[in-house]
Amino acid sequence: MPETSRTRVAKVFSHGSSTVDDQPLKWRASHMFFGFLIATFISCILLSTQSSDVAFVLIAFNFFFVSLTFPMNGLLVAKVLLLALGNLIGLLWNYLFSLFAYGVAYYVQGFFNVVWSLLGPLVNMMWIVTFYSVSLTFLSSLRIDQQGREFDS
Amino acid sequence: MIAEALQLLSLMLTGLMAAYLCRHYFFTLNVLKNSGKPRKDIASESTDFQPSVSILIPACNEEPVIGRILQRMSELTYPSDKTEIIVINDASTDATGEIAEQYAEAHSFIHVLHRNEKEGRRGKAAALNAGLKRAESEIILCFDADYYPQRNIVGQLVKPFEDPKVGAVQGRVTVLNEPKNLVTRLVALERIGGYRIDQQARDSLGLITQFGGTVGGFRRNLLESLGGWDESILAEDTDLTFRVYLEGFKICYAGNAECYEEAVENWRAYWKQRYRWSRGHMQCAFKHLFKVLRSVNLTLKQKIDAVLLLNVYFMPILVLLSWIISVPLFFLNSQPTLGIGWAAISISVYSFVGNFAPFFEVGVGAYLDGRNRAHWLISLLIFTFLYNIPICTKAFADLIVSKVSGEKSVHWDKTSHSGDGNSYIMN
Repeated sequence: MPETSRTRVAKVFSHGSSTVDDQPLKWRASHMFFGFLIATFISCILLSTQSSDVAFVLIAFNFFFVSLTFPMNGLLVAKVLLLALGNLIGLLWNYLFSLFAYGVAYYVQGFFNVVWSLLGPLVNMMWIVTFYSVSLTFLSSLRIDQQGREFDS
Repeated sequence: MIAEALQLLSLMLTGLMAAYLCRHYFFTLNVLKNSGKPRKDIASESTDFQPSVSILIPACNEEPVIGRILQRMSELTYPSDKTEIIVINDASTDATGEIAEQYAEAHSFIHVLHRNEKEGRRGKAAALNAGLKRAESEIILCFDADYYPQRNIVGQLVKPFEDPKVGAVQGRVTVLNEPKNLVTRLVALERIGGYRIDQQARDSLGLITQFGGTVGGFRRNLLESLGGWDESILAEDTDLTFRVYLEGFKICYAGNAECYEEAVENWRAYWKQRYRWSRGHMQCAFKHLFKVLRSVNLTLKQKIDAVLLLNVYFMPILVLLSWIISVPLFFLNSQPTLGIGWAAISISVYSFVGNFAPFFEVGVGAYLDGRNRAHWLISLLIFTFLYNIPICTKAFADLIVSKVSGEKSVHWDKTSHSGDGNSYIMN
Protein backbone atom coordinates (compact mmCIF):
# COMPACT_ATOMS: atom_id res chain seq x y z
CA MET A 1 0.00 0.00 0.00
CA PRO A 2 1.45 3.42 -0.90
CA GLU A 3 2.34 5.49 2.10
CA THR A 4 0.11 8.54 2.12
CA SER A 5 0.47 11.54 4.34
CA ARG A 6 -2.33 10.20 6.52
CA THR A 7 -0.75 6.78 7.07
CA ARG A 8 2.56 8.42 7.89
CA VAL A 9 0.95 10.62 10.53
CA ALA A 10 -0.87 7.61 11.96
CA LYS A 11 2.42 5.74 12.26
CA VAL A 12 3.95 8.61 14.18
CA PHE A 13 1.05 8.49 16.63
CA SER A 14 1.19 4.76 17.22
CA HIS A 15 4.89 4.82 18.00
CA GLY A 16 4.89 7.68 20.42
CA SER A 17 2.33 9.91 22.03
CA SER A 18 -1.22 9.41 20.90
CA THR A 19 -1.84 13.12 20.84
CA VAL A 20 -1.45 15.46 17.90
CA ASP A 21 -0.48 18.52 19.88
CA ASP A 22 2.64 18.97 17.76
CA GLN A 23 0.27 20.98 15.58
CA PRO A 24 -1.68 22.76 18.29
CA LEU A 25 -5.25 23.86 17.91
CA LYS A 26 -5.78 27.53 17.28
CA TRP A 27 -8.72 28.94 19.26
CA ARG A 28 -10.86 30.65 16.62
CA ALA A 29 -12.73 33.33 18.54
CA SER A 30 -13.91 35.06 15.37
CA HIS A 31 -15.51 31.81 14.12
CA MET A 32 -17.24 31.42 17.46
CA PHE A 33 -18.51 34.99 17.45
CA PHE A 34 -19.87 34.62 13.93
CA GLY A 35 -21.38 31.27 14.86
CA PHE A 36 -23.25 32.80 17.80
CA LEU A 37 -24.63 35.50 15.51
CA ILE A 38 -25.98 32.85 13.15
CA ALA A 39 -27.29 30.76 16.07
CA THR A 40 -29.16 33.79 17.42
CA PHE A 41 -30.64 34.47 13.99
CA ILE A 42 -31.75 30.84 13.59
CA SER A 43 -33.17 30.85 17.13
CA CYS A 44 -35.36 33.87 16.32
CA ILE A 45 -36.73 32.09 13.26
CA LEU A 46 -37.34 28.89 15.25
CA LEU A 47 -39.19 30.72 18.03
CA SER A 48 -41.53 32.35 15.55
CA THR A 49 -42.17 29.29 13.38
CA GLN A 50 -41.93 26.19 15.58
CA SER A 51 -43.64 24.90 18.72
CA SER A 52 -41.87 25.78 21.97
CA ASP A 53 -40.73 22.16 22.54
CA VAL A 54 -39.00 21.90 19.17
CA ALA A 55 -37.63 25.44 19.35
CA PHE A 56 -36.15 24.84 22.82
CA VAL A 57 -34.29 21.69 21.71
CA LEU A 58 -32.89 23.29 18.56
CA ILE A 59 -31.84 26.50 20.32
CA ALA A 60 -30.00 24.43 22.93
CA PHE A 61 -28.36 22.43 20.14
CA ASN A 62 -27.31 25.58 18.25
CA PHE A 63 -25.57 27.25 21.17
CA PHE A 64 -23.99 24.01 22.34
CA PHE A 65 -22.78 23.15 18.84
CA VAL A 66 -21.37 26.62 18.14
CA SER A 67 -19.49 26.84 21.44
CA LEU A 68 -17.85 23.43 21.08
CA THR A 69 -17.11 23.12 17.36
CA PHE A 70 -16.66 26.63 15.96
CA PRO A 71 -13.44 27.29 17.94
CA MET A 72 -11.86 24.23 16.28
CA ASN A 73 -9.71 24.18 13.16
CA GLY A 74 -11.52 24.16 9.83
CA LEU A 75 -13.23 26.43 7.38
CA LEU A 76 -15.95 28.69 8.73
CA VAL A 77 -18.14 27.82 5.74
CA ALA A 78 -17.91 24.12 6.59
CA LYS A 79 -18.95 24.78 10.19
CA VAL A 80 -21.87 26.98 9.15
CA LEU A 81 -23.03 24.29 6.73
CA LEU A 82 -22.80 21.70 9.51
CA LEU A 83 -24.85 23.95 11.78
CA ALA A 84 -27.51 24.41 9.10
CA LEU A 85 -27.55 20.67 8.41
CA GLY A 86 -27.94 19.97 12.13
CA ASN A 87 -30.98 22.24 12.28
CA LEU A 88 -32.51 20.56 9.26
CA ILE A 89 -31.97 17.10 10.73
CA GLY A 90 -33.39 18.28 14.06
CA LEU A 91 -36.52 19.65 12.40
CA LEU A 92 -36.98 16.51 10.32
CA TRP A 93 -36.38 14.25 13.33
CA ASN A 94 -38.95 16.09 15.44
CA TYR A 95 -41.44 16.16 12.59
CA LEU A 96 -41.12 12.40 11.99
CA PHE A 97 -41.38 11.61 15.67
CA SER A 98 -44.42 13.81 16.14
CA LEU A 99 -46.10 11.93 13.28
CA PHE A 100 -45.10 8.67 14.93
CA ALA A 101 -46.42 9.89 18.29
CA TYR A 102 -49.76 10.93 16.84
CA GLY A 103 -50.05 7.62 15.01
CA VAL A 104 -49.31 5.47 18.06
CA ALA A 105 -51.38 7.67 20.39
CA TYR A 106 -54.38 7.04 18.16
CA TYR A 107 -54.29 3.33 19.11
CA VAL A 108 -52.87 3.36 22.68
CA GLN A 109 -53.78 6.72 24.11
CA GLY A 110 -53.13 7.00 27.85
CA PHE A 111 -50.08 4.82 28.24
CA PHE A 112 -48.26 6.28 25.25
CA ASN A 113 -48.70 9.82 26.61
CA VAL A 114 -46.63 8.81 29.63
CA VAL A 115 -43.97 7.07 27.57
CA TRP A 116 -43.75 9.94 25.10
CA SER A 117 -43.50 12.58 27.81
CA LEU A 118 -40.76 10.68 29.57
CA LEU A 119 -38.73 9.61 26.56
CA GLY A 120 -39.17 12.64 24.31
CA PRO A 121 -36.12 14.58 25.53
CA LEU A 122 -34.01 11.43 25.46
CA VAL A 123 -34.97 10.70 21.88
CA ASN A 124 -33.88 14.22 20.96
CA MET A 125 -30.53 13.70 22.63
CA MET A 126 -29.93 10.72 20.36
CA TRP A 127 -29.79 12.77 17.18
CA ILE A 128 -27.86 15.58 18.86
CA VAL A 129 -25.12 13.25 20.13
CA THR A 130 -24.94 11.33 16.87
CA PHE A 131 -24.81 14.46 14.72
CA TYR A 132 -22.20 16.00 17.01
CA SER A 133 -20.06 12.83 16.72
CA VAL A 134 -20.26 12.82 12.93
CA SER A 135 -19.44 16.53 12.77
CA LEU A 136 -16.36 16.00 14.93
CA THR A 137 -15.25 13.16 12.68
CA PHE A 138 -15.50 15.50 9.72
CA LEU A 139 -13.61 18.33 11.44
CA SER A 140 -11.03 15.90 12.79
CA SER A 141 -10.42 14.49 9.29
CA LEU A 142 -9.81 18.00 8.01
CA ARG A 143 -7.31 18.59 10.78
CA ILE A 144 -5.36 15.40 10.14
CA ASP A 145 -5.36 16.02 6.38
CA GLN A 146 -3.97 19.49 7.00
CA GLN A 147 -1.25 18.07 9.23
CA GLY A 148 -0.48 15.42 6.67
CA ARG A 149 0.03 18.03 3.97
CA GLU A 150 2.34 19.99 6.26
CA PHE A 151 4.18 16.75 7.09
CA ASP A 152 4.65 16.09 3.35
CA SER A 153 5.96 19.55 2.65
CA MET B 1 -48.16 17.53 49.99
CA ILE B 2 -46.55 14.46 48.39
CA ALA B 3 -46.53 16.20 45.03
CA GLU B 4 -44.73 19.24 46.47
CA ALA B 5 -42.17 17.07 48.21
CA LEU B 6 -41.49 15.12 45.03
CA GLN B 7 -41.27 18.33 43.02
CA LEU B 8 -38.75 19.76 45.46
CA LEU B 9 -36.68 16.57 45.33
CA SER B 10 -36.87 16.54 41.55
CA LEU B 11 -35.68 20.15 41.37
CA MET B 12 -32.79 19.46 43.74
CA LEU B 13 -31.67 16.47 41.68
CA THR B 14 -31.98 18.46 38.48
CA GLY B 15 -29.88 21.23 40.01
CA LEU B 16 -27.20 18.72 41.00
CA MET B 17 -27.09 17.25 37.50
CA ALA B 18 -26.91 20.71 36.00
CA ALA B 19 -23.95 21.50 38.28
CA TYR B 20 -22.03 18.48 36.95
CA LEU B 21 -23.00 19.33 33.40
CA CYS B 22 -21.77 22.93 33.76
CA ARG B 23 -18.56 21.72 35.38
CA HIS B 24 -17.73 19.40 32.49
CA TYR B 25 -18.79 21.95 29.90
CA PHE B 26 -16.44 24.47 31.49
CA PHE B 27 -13.64 21.87 31.60
CA THR B 28 -14.11 21.14 27.91
CA LEU B 29 -14.06 24.79 26.89
CA ASN B 30 -11.00 25.39 29.04
CA VAL B 31 -8.98 22.59 27.42
CA LEU B 32 -10.17 23.54 23.95
CA LYS B 33 -9.14 27.15 24.53
CA ASN B 34 -5.75 26.31 26.04
CA SER B 35 -4.76 23.38 23.86
CA GLY B 36 -2.78 25.63 21.52
CA LYS B 37 -0.76 27.19 24.31
CA PRO B 38 2.56 25.72 25.47
CA ARG B 39 2.00 23.14 28.18
CA LYS B 40 3.82 23.61 31.43
CA ASP B 41 4.09 19.89 32.00
CA ILE B 42 6.31 19.22 29.00
CA ALA B 43 9.47 17.84 30.50
CA SER B 44 12.89 17.97 29.02
CA GLU B 45 15.23 15.02 29.34
CA SER B 46 18.15 17.44 29.48
CA THR B 47 17.01 18.92 32.78
CA ASP B 48 19.45 18.88 35.68
CA PHE B 49 16.66 17.81 38.02
CA GLN B 50 17.05 14.06 38.22
CA PRO B 51 16.11 12.79 41.67
CA SER B 52 16.40 9.13 42.59
CA VAL B 53 13.26 7.20 41.77
CA SER B 54 11.75 3.98 43.11
CA ILE B 55 9.18 2.38 40.83
CA LEU B 56 6.74 0.05 42.56
CA ILE B 57 5.02 -2.62 40.48
CA PRO B 58 2.52 -4.69 42.49
CA ALA B 59 1.83 -7.99 40.74
CA CYS B 60 -0.51 -10.81 41.70
CA ASN B 61 -0.80 -13.55 39.09
CA GLU B 62 0.35 -11.31 36.26
CA GLU B 63 2.27 -13.93 34.30
CA PRO B 64 0.89 -12.86 30.89
CA VAL B 65 1.98 -9.22 31.32
CA ILE B 66 4.77 -8.92 33.88
CA GLY B 67 7.53 -9.62 31.36
CA ARG B 68 6.25 -6.87 29.09
CA ILE B 69 6.47 -4.10 31.68
CA LEU B 70 9.81 -5.30 33.06
CA GLN B 71 11.26 -5.39 29.56
CA ARG B 72 10.06 -1.81 29.16
CA MET B 73 11.52 -0.83 32.52
CA SER B 74 14.89 -2.07 31.32
CA GLU B 75 14.62 0.30 28.33
CA LEU B 76 13.81 3.52 30.23
CA THR B 77 15.85 6.58 29.27
CA TYR B 78 16.11 7.77 32.89
CA PRO B 79 19.59 7.06 34.37
CA SER B 80 19.55 3.51 35.70
CA ASP B 81 21.84 4.45 38.61
CA LYS B 82 19.02 6.69 39.86
CA THR B 83 16.30 4.17 39.25
CA GLU B 84 15.18 1.32 41.46
CA ILE B 85 12.42 -0.99 40.31
CA ILE B 86 10.64 -3.04 42.93
CA VAL B 87 8.29 -5.78 41.81
CA ILE B 88 6.00 -6.80 44.65
CA ASN B 89 5.08 -10.39 43.92
CA ASP B 90 1.88 -10.53 45.93
CA ALA B 91 1.61 -14.26 46.64
CA SER B 92 1.23 -15.16 42.97
CA THR B 93 0.43 -18.78 42.20
CA ASP B 94 1.63 -18.56 38.60
CA ALA B 95 5.09 -17.79 37.17
CA THR B 96 5.01 -14.05 37.95
CA GLY B 97 7.73 -14.36 40.59
CA GLU B 98 10.01 -16.47 38.39
CA ILE B 99 9.74 -14.09 35.43
CA ALA B 100 10.45 -11.11 37.69
CA GLU B 101 13.48 -12.90 39.15
CA GLN B 102 14.86 -13.49 35.65
CA TYR B 103 14.75 -9.75 35.00
CA ALA B 104 16.24 -9.03 38.43
CA GLU B 105 19.19 -11.30 37.60
CA ALA B 106 19.76 -9.50 34.32
CA HIS B 107 19.38 -5.95 35.65
CA SER B 108 20.86 -4.81 38.97
CA PHE B 109 18.26 -2.06 39.44
CA ILE B 110 15.34 -4.49 39.38
CA HIS B 111 14.43 -6.11 42.70
CA VAL B 112 11.70 -8.56 43.58
CA LEU B 113 9.87 -8.57 46.86
CA HIS B 114 8.07 -11.86 47.42
CA ARG B 115 5.07 -11.93 49.72
CA ASN B 116 3.80 -15.28 50.88
CA GLU B 117 0.15 -16.30 51.16
CA LYS B 118 0.04 -15.31 54.82
CA GLU B 119 1.07 -11.67 54.25
CA GLY B 120 0.01 -11.22 50.64
CA ARG B 121 -3.26 -10.97 48.69
CA ARG B 122 -4.65 -8.22 50.89
CA GLY B 123 -5.11 -5.77 48.07
CA LYS B 124 -3.03 -3.38 46.03
CA ALA B 125 -2.66 -0.86 48.87
CA ALA B 126 -1.09 -3.49 51.14
CA ALA B 127 1.31 -4.58 48.40
CA LEU B 128 2.33 -0.99 47.72
CA ASN B 129 2.93 -0.34 51.42
CA ALA B 130 5.23 -3.35 51.49
CA GLY B 131 7.09 -1.93 48.50
CA LEU B 132 7.30 1.50 50.13
CA LYS B 133 9.12 0.01 53.14
CA ARG B 134 11.71 -1.44 50.77
CA ALA B 135 12.06 1.69 48.60
CA GLU B 136 14.98 4.04 49.20
CA SER B 137 14.54 6.88 46.68
CA GLU B 138 13.23 10.45 46.94
CA ILE B 139 10.38 9.89 44.51
CA ILE B 140 8.04 6.90 44.55
CA LEU B 141 6.32 6.04 41.28
CA CYS B 142 3.79 3.24 40.77
CA PHE B 143 2.79 1.28 37.71
CA ASP B 144 0.31 -1.55 37.37
CA ALA B 145 1.74 -4.73 35.90
CA ASP B 146 -0.42 -4.54 32.77
CA TYR B 147 0.87 -1.09 31.83
CA TYR B 148 3.34 -0.22 29.10
CA PRO B 149 4.98 3.22 29.48
CA GLN B 150 6.87 5.43 27.07
CA ARG B 151 10.62 5.07 27.42
CA ASN B 152 11.03 8.65 28.66
CA ILE B 153 8.14 8.51 31.11
CA VAL B 154 10.17 8.77 34.31
CA GLY B 155 11.74 12.05 33.20
CA GLN B 156 8.30 13.38 32.34
CA LEU B 157 6.83 12.30 35.68
CA VAL B 158 9.58 13.65 37.94
CA LYS B 159 9.84 17.07 36.27
CA PRO B 160 6.84 18.58 38.14
CA PHE B 161 8.51 17.74 41.46
CA GLU B 162 10.89 20.68 40.88
CA ASP B 163 8.02 22.72 42.30
CA PRO B 164 8.11 22.16 46.09
CA LYS B 165 4.33 22.55 46.31
CA VAL B 166 3.81 19.50 44.13
CA GLY B 167 3.31 16.47 46.35
CA ALA B 168 2.27 14.03 43.66
CA VAL B 169 2.09 13.63 39.92
CA GLN B 170 -0.24 11.82 37.57
CA GLY B 171 0.53 10.79 33.99
CA ARG B 172 -1.84 9.98 31.17
CA VAL B 173 -3.37 6.56 30.61
CA THR B 174 -4.39 5.37 27.15
CA VAL B 175 -5.75 1.98 26.17
CA LEU B 176 -3.35 -0.46 24.53
CA ASN B 177 -5.84 -3.11 23.41
CA GLU B 178 -8.42 -0.64 22.12
CA PRO B 179 -9.16 -2.46 18.81
CA LYS B 180 -9.92 -5.73 20.62
CA ASN B 181 -13.72 -5.35 20.95
CA LEU B 182 -16.53 -2.94 21.77
CA VAL B 183 -15.82 -2.94 25.51
CA THR B 184 -12.18 -1.96 25.07
CA ARG B 185 -13.16 0.72 22.55
CA LEU B 186 -15.68 2.23 24.95
CA VAL B 187 -13.21 2.11 27.82
CA ALA B 188 -10.72 3.90 25.56
CA LEU B 189 -13.25 6.67 24.98
CA GLU B 190 -13.82 6.99 28.72
CA ARG B 191 -10.08 7.30 29.22
CA ILE B 192 -9.82 10.01 26.56
CA GLY B 193 -12.53 12.09 28.22
CA GLY B 194 -11.17 11.48 31.70
CA TYR B 195 -7.52 12.24 31.03
CA ARG B 196 -7.37 14.47 27.95
CA ILE B 197 -10.05 16.83 29.23
CA ASP B 198 -10.93 16.25 32.90
CA GLN B 199 -7.46 15.87 34.36
CA GLN B 200 -5.97 18.50 32.07
CA ALA B 201 -8.67 21.04 32.97
CA ARG B 202 -8.46 20.38 36.69
CA ASP B 203 -4.71 20.89 36.54
CA SER B 204 -4.84 24.12 34.56
CA LEU B 205 -7.71 25.53 36.62
CA GLY B 206 -5.98 24.73 39.93
CA LEU B 207 -8.68 22.30 41.04
CA ILE B 208 -8.37 18.74 42.38
CA THR B 209 -6.20 16.73 40.00
CA GLN B 210 -6.85 13.08 40.73
CA PHE B 211 -4.13 10.53 41.36
CA GLY B 212 -5.25 7.47 39.41
CA GLY B 213 -3.33 4.84 41.36
CA THR B 214 -0.87 4.13 38.57
CA VAL B 215 1.36 6.06 36.13
CA GLY B 216 2.09 8.54 38.87
CA GLY B 217 3.88 9.01 42.12
CA PHE B 218 4.66 10.93 45.25
CA ARG B 219 7.41 12.54 47.20
CA ARG B 220 8.61 9.80 49.48
CA ASN B 221 8.66 11.98 52.62
CA LEU B 222 5.09 13.14 52.00
CA LEU B 223 3.86 9.62 51.38
CA GLU B 224 5.51 8.39 54.57
CA SER B 225 4.13 11.30 56.60
CA LEU B 226 0.65 10.41 55.32
CA GLY B 227 1.14 6.83 56.46
CA GLY B 228 1.27 5.31 52.99
CA TRP B 229 -1.72 3.78 51.28
CA ASP B 230 -4.89 3.15 53.32
CA GLU B 231 -5.47 -0.60 53.15
CA SER B 232 -9.10 -0.33 54.27
CA ILE B 233 -10.13 1.73 51.23
CA LEU B 234 -10.82 0.09 47.87
CA ALA B 235 -10.05 3.33 45.98
CA GLU B 236 -6.73 3.90 47.70
CA ASP B 237 -5.73 6.31 44.91
CA THR B 238 -8.67 8.68 45.43
CA ASP B 239 -8.10 8.49 49.17
CA LEU B 240 -4.47 9.56 48.74
CA THR B 241 -5.52 12.31 46.35
CA PHE B 242 -7.56 13.96 49.06
CA ARG B 243 -5.01 13.35 51.77
CA VAL B 244 -2.36 15.09 49.65
CA TYR B 245 -4.58 18.13 49.07
CA LEU B 246 -5.72 18.27 52.69
CA GLU B 247 -2.04 18.30 53.69
CA GLY B 248 -1.56 21.47 51.61
CA PHE B 249 0.21 19.96 48.59
CA LYS B 250 -1.05 19.71 45.06
CA ILE B 251 -1.04 17.00 42.39
CA CYS B 252 0.28 17.87 38.95
CA TYR B 253 -1.07 16.26 35.79
CA ALA B 254 1.72 15.44 33.35
CA GLY B 255 -0.26 14.86 30.17
CA ASN B 256 2.86 14.11 28.15
CA ALA B 257 3.80 11.22 30.40
CA GLU B 258 1.80 8.69 28.48
CA CYS B 259 1.37 5.06 29.41
CA TYR B 260 -0.66 2.30 27.78
CA GLU B 261 -2.91 0.01 29.80
CA GLU B 262 -4.57 -3.27 29.00
CA ALA B 263 -8.24 -2.42 29.45
CA VAL B 264 -10.89 -4.87 30.64
CA GLU B 265 -12.13 -6.94 27.73
CA ASN B 266 -15.64 -8.02 28.72
CA TRP B 267 -18.62 -6.72 30.59
CA ARG B 268 -18.07 -9.07 33.55
CA ALA B 269 -14.56 -7.74 34.13
CA TYR B 270 -15.89 -4.22 33.60
CA TRP B 271 -18.45 -4.81 36.38
CA LYS B 272 -15.82 -6.10 38.81
CA GLN B 273 -13.47 -3.22 38.16
CA ARG B 274 -16.11 -0.48 38.30
CA TYR B 275 -17.75 -2.00 41.37
CA ARG B 276 -14.42 -1.75 43.16
CA TRP B 277 -13.91 1.83 41.96
CA SER B 278 -17.41 2.97 42.87
CA ARG B 279 -17.46 1.37 46.30
CA GLY B 280 -13.99 2.71 47.04
CA HIS B 281 -14.93 6.15 45.85
CA MET B 282 -18.02 6.13 48.06
CA GLN B 283 -15.83 5.11 51.00
CA CYS B 284 -13.70 8.17 50.26
CA ALA B 285 -16.80 10.38 50.13
CA PHE B 286 -17.79 9.26 53.62
CA LYS B 287 -14.23 9.64 54.86
CA HIS B 288 -13.28 13.01 53.37
CA LEU B 289 -16.38 15.08 52.67
CA PHE B 290 -16.46 16.99 55.93
CA LYS B 291 -12.67 17.24 56.14
CA VAL B 292 -12.71 18.88 52.72
CA LEU B 293 -15.38 21.38 53.72
CA ARG B 294 -13.47 22.33 56.89
CA SER B 295 -10.00 22.39 55.32
CA VAL B 296 -7.99 25.60 55.49
CA ASN B 297 -5.61 24.35 52.79
CA LEU B 298 -8.24 24.26 50.04
CA THR B 299 -9.61 27.25 48.17
CA LEU B 300 -13.35 27.66 47.63
CA LYS B 301 -13.20 26.46 44.03
CA GLN B 302 -11.16 23.44 45.12
CA LYS B 303 -13.75 22.64 47.78
CA ILE B 304 -16.56 22.80 45.24
CA ASP B 305 -14.64 20.60 42.81
CA ALA B 306 -13.70 18.21 45.61
CA VAL B 307 -17.33 17.80 46.69
CA LEU B 308 -18.41 17.12 43.10
CA LEU B 309 -15.53 14.69 42.58
CA LEU B 310 -16.18 12.81 45.82
CA ASN B 311 -19.87 12.35 45.01
CA VAL B 312 -19.60 11.49 41.34
CA TYR B 313 -20.28 7.78 41.84
CA PHE B 314 -23.58 8.60 43.56
CA MET B 315 -24.84 10.31 40.41
CA PRO B 316 -25.96 7.22 38.46
CA ILE B 317 -28.06 6.29 41.52
CA LEU B 318 -29.53 9.78 41.71
CA VAL B 319 -30.35 9.72 37.99
CA LEU B 320 -32.21 6.47 38.59
CA LEU B 321 -34.02 8.08 41.52
CA SER B 322 -35.00 11.04 39.30
CA TRP B 323 -36.39 8.62 36.76
CA ILE B 324 -38.43 6.82 39.38
CA ILE B 325 -39.93 9.93 40.96
CA SER B 326 -40.78 11.38 37.56
CA VAL B 327 -43.46 8.74 37.04
CA PRO B 328 -45.58 9.67 40.10
CA LEU B 329 -44.94 13.32 39.31
CA PHE B 330 -46.44 12.76 35.88
CA PHE B 331 -49.60 11.29 37.33
CA LEU B 332 -49.79 14.04 39.93
CA ASN B 333 -50.03 16.53 37.06
CA SER B 334 -46.70 18.21 37.66
CA GLN B 335 -45.85 18.58 34.01
CA PRO B 336 -43.89 21.88 34.25
CA THR B 337 -41.41 20.44 36.74
CA LEU B 338 -41.41 17.13 34.95
CA GLY B 339 -40.52 18.76 31.65
CA ILE B 340 -37.50 20.53 33.09
CA GLY B 341 -36.54 17.48 35.13
CA TRP B 342 -36.64 15.17 32.17
CA ALA B 343 -34.69 17.52 29.98
CA ALA B 344 -31.96 17.52 32.61
CA ILE B 345 -32.19 13.78 33.14
CA SER B 346 -31.87 13.02 29.47
CA ILE B 347 -28.85 15.28 29.17
CA SER B 348 -27.41 13.72 32.27
CA VAL B 349 -27.81 10.25 30.87
CA TYR B 350 -25.29 11.30 28.31
CA SER B 351 -23.40 13.50 30.72
CA PHE B 352 -22.48 10.78 33.14
CA VAL B 353 -21.59 8.18 30.61
CA GLY B 354 -18.63 5.85 31.11
CA ASN B 355 -15.97 7.29 33.31
CA PHE B 356 -18.38 10.11 34.10
CA ALA B 357 -17.25 12.23 31.20
CA PRO B 358 -20.03 13.76 29.07
CA PHE B 359 -20.25 12.98 25.38
CA PHE B 360 -18.94 16.41 24.35
CA GLU B 361 -15.95 16.00 26.66
CA VAL B 362 -15.08 12.66 25.07
CA GLY B 363 -15.70 14.16 21.62
CA VAL B 364 -13.39 17.12 22.11
CA GLY B 365 -10.76 14.90 23.75
CA ALA B 366 -10.81 12.54 20.78
CA TYR B 367 -10.64 15.50 18.41
CA LEU B 368 -7.58 16.89 20.17
CA ASP B 369 -5.99 13.45 20.03
CA GLY B 370 -6.70 13.25 16.29
CA ARG B 371 -8.91 10.20 16.83
CA ASN B 372 -11.38 10.92 14.05
CA ARG B 373 -12.82 7.39 13.81
CA ALA B 374 -13.29 7.03 17.56
CA HIS B 375 -16.05 9.64 17.45
CA TRP B 376 -18.41 7.19 15.82
CA LEU B 377 -18.81 5.25 19.05
CA ILE B 378 -19.65 8.16 21.32
CA SER B 379 -23.40 7.54 21.11
CA LEU B 380 -22.85 4.02 22.42
CA LEU B 381 -21.40 5.32 25.68
CA ILE B 382 -24.96 5.49 26.94
CA PHE B 383 -24.79 1.72 27.44
CA THR B 384 -21.83 1.99 29.79
CA PHE B 385 -23.72 4.63 31.72
CA LEU B 386 -26.80 2.43 31.99
CA TYR B 387 -24.52 -0.42 33.09
CA ASN B 388 -23.05 1.86 35.76
CA ILE B 389 -26.45 2.36 37.38
CA PRO B 390 -26.73 -1.18 38.83
CA ILE B 391 -22.99 -1.24 39.55
CA CYS B 392 -23.07 1.92 41.64
CA THR B 393 -26.37 0.98 43.26
CA LYS B 394 -25.01 -2.39 44.37
CA ALA B 395 -21.78 -0.79 45.57
CA PHE B 396 -23.74 1.73 47.62
CA ALA B 397 -26.04 -0.92 49.09
CA ASP B 398 -23.09 -3.15 50.01
CA LEU B 399 -21.26 -0.23 51.58
CA ILE B 400 -24.26 0.69 53.71
CA VAL B 401 -24.68 -2.93 54.81
CA SER B 402 -21.00 -3.16 55.74
CA LYS B 403 -21.22 0.11 57.69
CA VAL B 404 -24.33 -1.03 59.56
CA SER B 405 -22.88 -4.45 60.31
CA GLY B 406 -19.54 -2.95 61.32
CA GLU B 407 -17.60 -5.06 58.85
CA LYS B 408 -14.13 -3.58 58.41
CA SER B 409 -12.42 -5.94 56.01
CA VAL B 410 -12.57 -5.22 52.29
CA HIS B 411 -12.29 -7.78 49.55
CA TRP B 412 -10.03 -6.73 46.70
CA ASP B 413 -11.43 -8.22 43.49
CA LYS B 414 -8.43 -8.07 41.22
CA THR B 415 -8.79 -7.37 37.49
CA SER B 416 -7.24 -10.21 35.50
CA HIS B 417 -5.24 -9.51 32.35
CA SER B 418 -4.92 -11.74 29.31
CA GLY B 419 -1.71 -10.28 27.91
CA ASP B 420 -3.36 -9.85 24.50
CA GLY B 421 -2.21 -6.24 24.51
CA ASN B 422 1.25 -7.45 23.46
CA SER B 423 0.02 -7.83 19.90
CA TYR B 424 -0.66 -4.11 19.64
CA ILE B 425 2.83 -2.98 20.56
CA MET B 426 4.85 -1.64 17.64
CA ASN B 427 8.51 -1.34 18.48
